[in-house]
Amino acid sequence: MAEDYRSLFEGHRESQPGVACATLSHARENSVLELESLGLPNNRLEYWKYSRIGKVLKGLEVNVNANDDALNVDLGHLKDEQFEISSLREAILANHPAIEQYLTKLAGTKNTGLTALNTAFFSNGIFIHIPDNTIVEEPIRLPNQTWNVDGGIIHPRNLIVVGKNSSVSIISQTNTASALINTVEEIHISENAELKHYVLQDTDISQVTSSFVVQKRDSRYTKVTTTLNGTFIRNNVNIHLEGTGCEANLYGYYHINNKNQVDNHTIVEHKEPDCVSNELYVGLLDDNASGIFNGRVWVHQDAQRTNAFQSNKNILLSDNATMNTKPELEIYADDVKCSHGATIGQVDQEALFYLRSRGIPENIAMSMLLQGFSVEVTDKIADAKFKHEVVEMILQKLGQHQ
Amino acid sequence: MSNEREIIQEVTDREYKYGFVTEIESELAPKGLTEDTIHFISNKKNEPEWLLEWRLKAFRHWQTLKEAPKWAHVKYSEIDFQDIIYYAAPKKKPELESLDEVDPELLKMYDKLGISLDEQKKLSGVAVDVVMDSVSVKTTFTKKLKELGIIFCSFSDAVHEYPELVKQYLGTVVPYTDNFYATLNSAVFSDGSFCYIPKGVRCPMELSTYFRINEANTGQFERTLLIADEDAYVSYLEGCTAPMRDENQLHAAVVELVAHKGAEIKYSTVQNWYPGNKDGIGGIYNFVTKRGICKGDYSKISWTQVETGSAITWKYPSVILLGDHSVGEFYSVAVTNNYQQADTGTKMLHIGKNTMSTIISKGISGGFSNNSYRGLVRIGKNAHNARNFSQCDSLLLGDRCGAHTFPYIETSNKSAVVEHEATTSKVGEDQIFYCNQRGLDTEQAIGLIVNGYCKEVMKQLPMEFAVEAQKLLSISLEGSVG
Repeated sequence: MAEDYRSLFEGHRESQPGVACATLSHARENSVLELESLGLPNNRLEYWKYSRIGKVLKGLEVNVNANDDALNVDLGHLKDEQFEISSLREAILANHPAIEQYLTKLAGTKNTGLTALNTAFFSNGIFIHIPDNTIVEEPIRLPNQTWNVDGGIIHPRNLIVVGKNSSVSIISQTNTASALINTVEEIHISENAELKHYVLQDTDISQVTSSFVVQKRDSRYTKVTTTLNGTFIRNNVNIHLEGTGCEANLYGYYHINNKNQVDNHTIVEHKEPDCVSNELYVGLLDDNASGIFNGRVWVHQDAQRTNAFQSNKNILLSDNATMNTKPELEIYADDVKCSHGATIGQVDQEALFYLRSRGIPENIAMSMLLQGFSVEVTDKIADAKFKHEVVEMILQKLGQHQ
Repeated sequence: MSNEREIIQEVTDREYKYGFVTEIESELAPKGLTEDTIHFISNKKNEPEWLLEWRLKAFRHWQTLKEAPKWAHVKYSEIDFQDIIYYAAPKKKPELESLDEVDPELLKMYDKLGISLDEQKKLSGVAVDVVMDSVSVKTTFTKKLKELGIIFCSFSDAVHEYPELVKQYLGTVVPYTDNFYATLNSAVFSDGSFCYIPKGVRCPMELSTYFRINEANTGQFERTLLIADEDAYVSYLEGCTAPMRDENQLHAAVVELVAHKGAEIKYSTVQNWYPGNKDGIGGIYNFVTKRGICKGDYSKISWTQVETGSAITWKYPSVILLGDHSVGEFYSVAVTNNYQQADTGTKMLHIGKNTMSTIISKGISGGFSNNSYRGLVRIGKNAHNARNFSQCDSLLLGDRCGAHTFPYIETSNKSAVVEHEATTSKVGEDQIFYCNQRGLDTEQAIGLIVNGYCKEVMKQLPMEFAVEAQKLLSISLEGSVG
């Protein structure tokens, strides 16, 4: 796709939100330059190896819809006096101080073409700001987002800022339709704050979601991503541990079929000492589905006493399914405990036999064992109600497999 | 851990034991690489037309390759391929009959290296092929092996004496289009070893090749071709050293192994090229392509390597598991120190049914070095019941070094079982404390722990080599091994 990003950008510059904001305009300007040099991703790039991104992008237009009504999302019922929630556009137009401080800062500039594309052309998304010293008891469940656009690549942009000593849970579910949803989300977790982030992907769409998380001293971030459907799902999670004593937990469960692809790319950057990171991604691949996992733990020289664990377990349910996994460690500090593991295998035949010998039919026994496989991840969902919902969906999906 | 620091200090200050230059008159090709160079080499070796053609094809292909691959986790300034001498040979009298006729300077050099050809011949029962700079100097035991039908000779001799075999197998495992350095090697390779084990023969002794770069400004490009016919067995050893020089020298070798039905090849390497001085100046660039193919059912190829030398190592001994029930193994200890960089690992390509592979890799990094494991396990669509187990551990001995793991696992068969695990840690203070408590000082403790850490790999080496490897490891960590 040889787009003239420059003229596309110039053509819409004036109608984009935040055109008056110097930092934002500057960031957009840089992104266009970056986009021109990087172009959109293809399979020849190591970061997109095995990915079907080339096919997905083929023939797609970059959709620049900067109008007010591009995003249709009802956040009214979520309004709360404890915190601020609005569309990103509103926050930009209201000159919210967090916009100047964080927006486009966390995603940085040295990224893939798709992130640059988003930065150059985003017009809306969701903005959540939790002030300091606030404990939000109930999880914030984001409603459906509908984009009034026809096809092409769309660019939702989310910004979540959690203040000092605050705690919140956010549940999001992607279910808008377009040819490709290229979401970028920026998450800032301040000192001693906690964010539990649950993501459910269960609609038949193509999406690339790039999350950039910056964690300050003693903060905690837990992300649980459950993928049960999607034509093309790519989740990029970039964690920057920028303070001591941080904890980052990334968990994922995926079960896909047909010709779908699920691709989880994580980068955990340990920049400061005494942080802990845990990663566990488990999944089932059926029919002609293909799965990709690429986890990268990067321990900088000064990040002594780092503990980093990474694990990826897969079961192929069909002879035509494929799994490509690449758990990487890049370590420049010596006083560390890092490990990673990856397995691809089948259900334990002895366990299956055990269940069958006690009168459980094979298909049910199989379901039980496969569900057991997902428990390690679903157990990390602290919100009982949402957990129940996810488990039900997983079971339903396993039922379909039979 | 000041004690550990001191040990590392001592290690970094050690001298490279094999860093001497032997004054031997040499015959050199003019610097640079053109078609003329290839004609020159081919002419020198009196090669048949078909081989020259093959070299030229490789050279023309190489010219189309714009630059050397950049994906490895190593940093170095670009190599000027026109600034290398592609052929250097000790000036020798024609055809040697016995060891007495070998240049005494040469013999002295091998004595220094601790591999006296004479003694080897008499005592240890190891057949040796010695390659210095570009040519094979001496092959021992050829006659005795010949009685069994085993061919073990220099590559050039094989081209003359067994052209059919060479023609049949050359480039079948590593084609000349394989990668940048393999292509370069195919164009300019000067010598190397050739080995053929006939059907059902179990080679009664270890076969060994010793490589030595002696001349300045030269690159070494040797080529090894090893074929084990049905139900044959061979254990092959390879060692290498080079003088200390301030400039970087290029070593780009190709090794091809072919195992037919039921055959087993065990290939062991102790790589000790000059690693550069403690400031990272000089040293060998070791860019090697090694690959074996388990062609027949029930065949087995096992790679064992102890990598302690070279400024940069870039090496991935691989196995193509084509035959059903074939087995591939890779055991590696890679030690980097000072400013050394190693990017090494393996590829296990499962194609046949019930194929099995094991990867055990142990990396140890100290000083300012970077040590990476990079590996690929690919389970093909028809590789039913394929099995892989990989374990890659890294040990860090300083706070300025790096240890990295880049494993690729690609599976497209549901009956496959693939396991990969890796850990990175330093020598535990509790482990050292435990040893201290029992009367070992910290040096001895580290020695003990590192030795134990490598044992899994070391025990795979043939006895003669295990001793050398352990010695090397102890030099690499000098001061710490009691």
